[in-house]
Amino acid sequence: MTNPLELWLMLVGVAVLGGLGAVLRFWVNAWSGYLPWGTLAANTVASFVVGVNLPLPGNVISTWLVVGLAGGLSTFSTFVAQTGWWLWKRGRVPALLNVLTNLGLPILAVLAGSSVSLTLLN
Amino acid sequence: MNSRLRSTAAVFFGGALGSVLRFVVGLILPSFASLFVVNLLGAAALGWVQGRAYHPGHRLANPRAQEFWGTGFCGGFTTMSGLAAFVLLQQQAVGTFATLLYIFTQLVLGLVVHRVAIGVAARGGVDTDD
Repeated sequence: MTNPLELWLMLVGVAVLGGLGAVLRFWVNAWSGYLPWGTLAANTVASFVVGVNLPLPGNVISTWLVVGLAGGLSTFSTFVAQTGWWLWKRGRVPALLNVLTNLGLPILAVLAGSSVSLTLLN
Repeated sequence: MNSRLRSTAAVFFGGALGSVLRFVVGLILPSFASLFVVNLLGAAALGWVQGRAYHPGHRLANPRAQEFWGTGFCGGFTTMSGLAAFVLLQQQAVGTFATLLYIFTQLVLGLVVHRVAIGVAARGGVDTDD
């Protein structure tokens, strides 16, 4: 059971780092071409951060990084919106590629992050 | 305060609010449910916000509101990194088929609710080619 002070610390940290993550995503969002590279980059980097924290014990700092920074940096809603727009404006192939990359690369990034973390711990 | 700074501030505070709400939802619901809730509600909310942009006089149509609620709040409220980590852990627990079904359902429902929300919110608004 988390004590009230720890909970408040988590909330404040999640707010600040979540806001920071959102700003970082906002700045890279303009990077777009055949696919929305900015969103893909944000989702992948955020997933790497989550992966690094996975093997570590849960505490206030890991909550800030995972729920706050990575959660704010990554986005499902923009990914969905862009996939829909891509499907409408550019066709099925780019839309499908957007889905596969935005699901596949973050999963690989989580794996990579946790591997790095485990290697450093050992 | 210049425009770029105002935009950044709007995204920051929207993202902060969205992230905190996502955290609170995660405290209340188990992971598989909280991810569904935040991602689908967030997709719908983003559709609504984007749809209101077709009504130029509406308070959600102005760029700061779009940045706060769209890029900031909805982006912060939803999570792809959480989904990726959950999927990886779940695949080990429940197998590949159930995991793929979970992803597929969330993706399809997300596309549907986003599209429906835009359609409803944009109804009667200015027709723009976007």
